Amino acid sequence: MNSITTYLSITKTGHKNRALRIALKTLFIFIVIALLAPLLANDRPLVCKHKNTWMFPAFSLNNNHIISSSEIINYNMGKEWKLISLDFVLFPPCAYSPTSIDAENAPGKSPFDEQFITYKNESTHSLPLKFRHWLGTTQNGNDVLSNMVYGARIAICIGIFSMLIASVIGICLGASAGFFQNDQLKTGPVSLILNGLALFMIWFYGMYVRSEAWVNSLNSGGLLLIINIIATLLISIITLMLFHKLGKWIEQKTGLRQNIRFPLDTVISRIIEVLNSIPALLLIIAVSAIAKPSYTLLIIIIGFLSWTSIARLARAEFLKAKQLDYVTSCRAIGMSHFKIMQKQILPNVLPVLLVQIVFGMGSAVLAEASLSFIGIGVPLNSASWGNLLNEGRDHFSSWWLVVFPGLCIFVLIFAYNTIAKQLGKTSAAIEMKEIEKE
Amino acid sequence: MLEYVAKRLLWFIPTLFVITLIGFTLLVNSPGDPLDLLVSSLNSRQGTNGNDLEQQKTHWRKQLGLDLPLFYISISQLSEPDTLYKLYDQQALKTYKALLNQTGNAQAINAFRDALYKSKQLFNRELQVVKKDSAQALRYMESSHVILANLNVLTLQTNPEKNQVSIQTILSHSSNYSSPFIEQIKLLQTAFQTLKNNHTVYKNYIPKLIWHGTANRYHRWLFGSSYSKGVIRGDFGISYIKKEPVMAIIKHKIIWSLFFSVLSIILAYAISIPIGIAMARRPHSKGSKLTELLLFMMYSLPSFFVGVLLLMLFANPDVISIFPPSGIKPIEGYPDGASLLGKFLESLPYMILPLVCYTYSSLAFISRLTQTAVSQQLSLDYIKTAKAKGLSNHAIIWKHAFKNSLLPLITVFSSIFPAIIGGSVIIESIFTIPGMGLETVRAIIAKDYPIVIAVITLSSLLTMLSYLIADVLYAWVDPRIRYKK
Repeated sequence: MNSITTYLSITKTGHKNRALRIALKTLFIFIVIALLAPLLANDRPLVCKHKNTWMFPAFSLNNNHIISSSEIINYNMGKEWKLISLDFVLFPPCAYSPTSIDAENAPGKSPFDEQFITYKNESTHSLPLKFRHWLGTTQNGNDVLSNMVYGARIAICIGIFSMLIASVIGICLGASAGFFQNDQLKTGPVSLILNGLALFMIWFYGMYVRSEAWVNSLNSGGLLLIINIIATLLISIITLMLFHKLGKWIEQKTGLRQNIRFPLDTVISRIIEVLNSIPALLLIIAVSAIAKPSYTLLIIIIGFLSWTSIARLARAEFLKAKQLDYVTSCRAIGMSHFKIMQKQILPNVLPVLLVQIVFGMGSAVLAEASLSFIGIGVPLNSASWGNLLNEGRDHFSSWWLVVFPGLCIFVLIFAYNTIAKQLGKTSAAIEMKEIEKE
Repeated sequence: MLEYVAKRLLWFIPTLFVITLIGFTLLVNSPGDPLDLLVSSLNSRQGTNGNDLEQQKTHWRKQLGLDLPLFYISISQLSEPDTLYKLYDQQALKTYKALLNQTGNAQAINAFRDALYKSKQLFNRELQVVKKDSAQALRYMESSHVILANLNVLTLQTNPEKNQVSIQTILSHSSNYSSPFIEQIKLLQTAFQTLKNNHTVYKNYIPKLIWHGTANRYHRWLFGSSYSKGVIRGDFGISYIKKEPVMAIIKHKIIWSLFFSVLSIILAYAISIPIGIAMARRPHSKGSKLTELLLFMMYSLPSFFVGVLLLMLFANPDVISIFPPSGIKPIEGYPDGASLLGKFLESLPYMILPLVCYTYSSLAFISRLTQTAVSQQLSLDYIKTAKAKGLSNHAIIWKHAFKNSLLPLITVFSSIFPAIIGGSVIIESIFTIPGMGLETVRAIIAKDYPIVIAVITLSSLLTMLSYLIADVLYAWVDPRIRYKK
């Protein structure tokens, strides 16, 4: 059985597969950068000492520190941090926040240009190395490196979370389409009617009556939207389960025969076909022109549009696995459909699905970068790689606005694609081994 | 075979319905009143006053069928009035719905809105009377401002406590005005009290189903009316901004997208098929491994990055300036009386960078596909037979293996083709090619939704159609597919 564990053991000891290891390491670096972004690029120093008090402004959630009744240090002083004199100070590797503006080094200093700083006594000096804009500045005077660090955050989040949504939907739908096909899912008339009623109720009470709440949360983006969606989903699932159980119970009591075959495979295949035919990028653009752009919304839209390839694969894999001996034996000992799917087949096919999911992460990153590159569908002025590229396109002389973010996008997508390809190769190799064993 | 095609064609109808429904939903939910855009740009040509504007809007609304319900059936809350869709002002609709959510009493809301409307009218009349006498006007100045502001606030505000305060303020300031107005304000207050005290919130939670028949916006949009021919006959309405039929704009703009897509597909096939075959022939050689890595890297390289880099390197006066940076033909236009070839030669320098950009991304994909298909064929028995017969390598590859692996390549072609309608949004906006992609971006920025919706719907339909054709082709070539359930 080629379960995830065998997989990881192979990748761990897989000294042969250098490409996979390098790609995994690259991805790991990007994830670490994304997680530690506020400590890597920040206006505030990591540690500083003033009048015998130690302060940790970059870690602090407060905005000021009271030293004495007459002296308060405001953590949000931005560039001032670099000008005031402190007993001891340690800045992050990149001493700028993505939004902070260094007007002195605007518009667009190249990484190799001489950069300046004016101290309190109005003497202008060349910028010390620890404050240097290593990758230059934008037209407004934002630090490019800092924007890149925060851009990694957005790219990683978009890739992982949108694919999380996509894989949950894709695996659920694809698995049931492959497993039940058109003739395996039998229900009785009461169940069918009650399930239909439950769906209607979910739509009416969950969506229509609460349309005002939906519009508000859509426009706010962020946490409110996520909470709203998760709460609605949970209540919907509980309602569906309850009605389903109720239907089953009534049918058992009344002795009605469950002889209606629900053509699940056809329905899901049609949905996949329709969704596949819609140009995803254009649809995202059109939807985001209607609702207020936010990254949460973008993640949700990408997730809801890109589950089809995962579902297709899951369907094929479940269809294949269904005919294997271990599933037949599970059936023979009376395991429920759901348990067979979840506990037996899924662990076996997950590695194959993982290939598609990782590929999807790369495409999600690409989609976000493309959208911010044309400047539609993403929040303006956010620190993302595509936004930097967008600015670079208008200022050809600022090559650093194009080359660095472009390379980052390329490296991340390349890493994702390589991981997916190598995982695919490994799973094919394992399959071959198993065939040989048999 | 006929049965298979008929079955696929029958399935095409529900999917078509779903796709048009998605397009229509997007169109209906687009923010802003379409008539605002339409009428305002009509008027920019001939000046008109406000009263005329409303008349024009009503006229156009009737003409375009925007005064109809959205769909064949509507499911709504029991508390909602049946003709809520006739409330066109989106702001007013929002307020109305919020009030409905609070109270569930449409009758009382209507009474309140009527009273408010009448109060406003009466107040305007009062103001006109007052204005005639300049001495009086000064005296009334402050109170009139307060009343006007509060009346306006009442139309949008939904918080009952705040509304109460607003009405009280109006009453306390209206002592100087004529008695009919004061009476009306008192009526407004009673209407408000009725609204506040008679809640029927339970009605919000009872669904109501109404059948509207074919006199609805979706039906008209899809099948046409006396005014338009309908989507089904290729009429996507009028562009809000350009005032031309959407289809005419698409026809005008699609040429460049079509040109680039077709040319780049041909180029991509011409380059990548030999590469793929070479890779399939010597799968373990260093050269083919290196090519594979390079192609894979190209596949991961975003096209907008390549596009901007190309422009920065080859169309930049600071580095090398051999290609023009944007557009598709000289700014002054083609020289008079230029032949088609002459025009092509004039445009050639403009086309090279976009073509490179268009082509490279599909290179990796198609070569990889060719490689897998050909190497699969090469491992089959009939190739061994051919070798045993003493056929030359060249003949084996091109006459046997390649011919048999053509089918997947053709399928890919059919899936690339529909993308033409949308054009390549990214590449066209980098190189400012006046095709469909750039037009779509412009339409989105200008909120010209009919074009956006037409592009989305059309390209989805074309994709579905090309799936259908590919499936039928497959079934025709490979009879095993037809009999599979």
